[in-house]
Amino acid sequence: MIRLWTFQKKVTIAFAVLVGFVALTTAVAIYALHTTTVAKDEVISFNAQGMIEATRLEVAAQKTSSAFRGYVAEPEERFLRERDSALQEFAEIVPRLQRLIHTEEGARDLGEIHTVMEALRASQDHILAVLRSKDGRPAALSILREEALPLRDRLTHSIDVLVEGQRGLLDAGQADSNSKASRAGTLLICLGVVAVVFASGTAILLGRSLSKQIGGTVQHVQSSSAELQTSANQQASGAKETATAMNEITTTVSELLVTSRQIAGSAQQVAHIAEETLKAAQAGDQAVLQSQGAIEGIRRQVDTVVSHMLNLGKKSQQIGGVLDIINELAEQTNILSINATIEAAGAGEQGKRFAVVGEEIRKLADRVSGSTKESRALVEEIRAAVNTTILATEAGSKAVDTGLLRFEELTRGFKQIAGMVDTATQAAREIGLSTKQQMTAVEQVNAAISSAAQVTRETEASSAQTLQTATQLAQLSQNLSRLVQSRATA
Amino acid sequence: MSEGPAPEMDALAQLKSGFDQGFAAAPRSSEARESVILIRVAGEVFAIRPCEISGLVKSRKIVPMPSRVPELLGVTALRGSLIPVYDLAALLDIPRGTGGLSWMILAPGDTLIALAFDGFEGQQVPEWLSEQSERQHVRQLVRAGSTIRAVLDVRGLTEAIRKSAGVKGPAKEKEQ
Repeated sequence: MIRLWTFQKKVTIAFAVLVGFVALTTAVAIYALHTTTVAKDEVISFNAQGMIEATRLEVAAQKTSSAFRGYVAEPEERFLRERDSALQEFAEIVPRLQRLIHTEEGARDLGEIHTVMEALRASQDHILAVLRSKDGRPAALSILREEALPLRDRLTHSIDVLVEGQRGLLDAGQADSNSKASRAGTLLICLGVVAVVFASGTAILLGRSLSKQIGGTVQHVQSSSAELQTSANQQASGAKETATAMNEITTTVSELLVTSRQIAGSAQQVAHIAEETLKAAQAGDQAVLQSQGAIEGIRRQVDTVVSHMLNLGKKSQQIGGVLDIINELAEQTNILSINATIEAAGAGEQGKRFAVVGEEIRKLADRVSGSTKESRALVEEIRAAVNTTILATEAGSKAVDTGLLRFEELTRGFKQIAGMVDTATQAAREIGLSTKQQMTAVEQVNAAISSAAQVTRETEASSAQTLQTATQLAQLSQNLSRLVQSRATA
Repeated sequence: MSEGPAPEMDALAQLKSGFDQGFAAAPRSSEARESVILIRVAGEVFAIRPCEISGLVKSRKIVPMPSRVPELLGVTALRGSLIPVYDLAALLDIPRGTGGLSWMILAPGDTLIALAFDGFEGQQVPEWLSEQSERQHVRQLVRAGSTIRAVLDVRGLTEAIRKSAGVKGPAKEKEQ
């Protein structure tokens, strides 16, 4: 995970951690200083002030005692004023001490002092009263020795206890303040040590990581530079080939331009020819229509011929019937002649002349029969010819029908041809127009290819520059690699 | 374009000429000009002398009659009388084929007898041959065209029929 961090991120995080340590150290130092200051303030504000006030209280008590003894020794009013002033000072010190003392022992000692001081004041007032009486000096001295002096010693002792207690508190507060300052210093030293260790470790780790990453990156840059150099070489050679190809393409496009112009001319010729073809197809259509009319006439004529042929066949059949009659007559005549011959033969000599007639009739009948056979043969031939003619005519009629169908198909074909030729004419015009547009486009392509050739030449020059840059980059990467390796080695 | 006379006109002229010459020429000898009638009996060809028959007619309806004579086909009506009809092929012992009996010749006599046969082929003046045929009811041989035909003995046939029919006495016949 950390290996994937960027160098900036690592440095930022390391500095952030170090800043955190510094901030923590600063916070700890501020805290320690504050704690020490508070402790010292407490020591100064309470303990030292208590000590001072206790000392002042002792001084006030001593002033009171000294003034009272002075008055006892020499009853002058100024001693009484000093005593009252000391008492007034004592009375002012006690409330301040009550505010400064927080311990039970101190409060108890202060209460004891206050009680003893009140007793001592009362005792001194009694002594003063006794002393002002007549001859009261010995009694006053006696009271002084027996009552006031023990109270004064007791007061002194209580004040000493209080002072000692306040001194102990002052020493304890100083010790506590010193202890807190010492702990803060120790904590600051520890934090400093940790920060130094972390900074050192971070510096080492960052150095290693950066060396490792930069070294790997430098190696990658080096290999990439080599590849870039190779690619630049290839690009340069490719740019040269591209420039050569561009020149060839320019030549080819120029030829294509010439060809397009030729195609445009040919398309115009095709359109012209298509228009002529359309006219010819329309003329052919008219001719086909006229031929179709002629074929219709032929068909009617053929129908008439067929009708006549059928009539002729019927007539031939009638002729055949007549020939049958003639043949029958001839045969009967023949039979009659033969019978006449027979009769003539039976008549003997008288019948010879009749026999001649019969013979001639028979010959005539034979000839008639022969002629009839010939006529029949002719009629049969005629009938066969008529049948053949009818069949041929019917075949011709069918052929005419087929021809009509073909002519109709031909008419449709001519119409389709006319339509197609019209379409071809329009297509040829569109081809011509498209070819002109193509020619314009080819000219634009030619210009574009010229620009591309210029760009290719510039690319070739740029490839050389790229090659040079790649070489410099390779040298830089080698230098950087040496630097990184030497640093890593060092 | 000049054309000669039509062939039909030539035939007609020849017909006229022959017809006229037939009457203009002198009569030939009886032997030389005797013609024969050419017939076909069950596929065989024969000739008949006209002087031996009374007529030649086309066959007509023959009504069969029961008879002990197998050659008798039946009777037919001719010229107002009933005439017996005999099968000429059977009389000549020729097995009859599938052909019909289309013609009849009439044998002379008091009672006419009809002889039925297949076909009549015409009348022609033949070449009389000297050879004789040994066949029954045949007299002579003649050459008519390219074929040699036997001349039927119609009188002999008629006599044989009358004998088989049990008719007494010879028939009164005319000698040629």
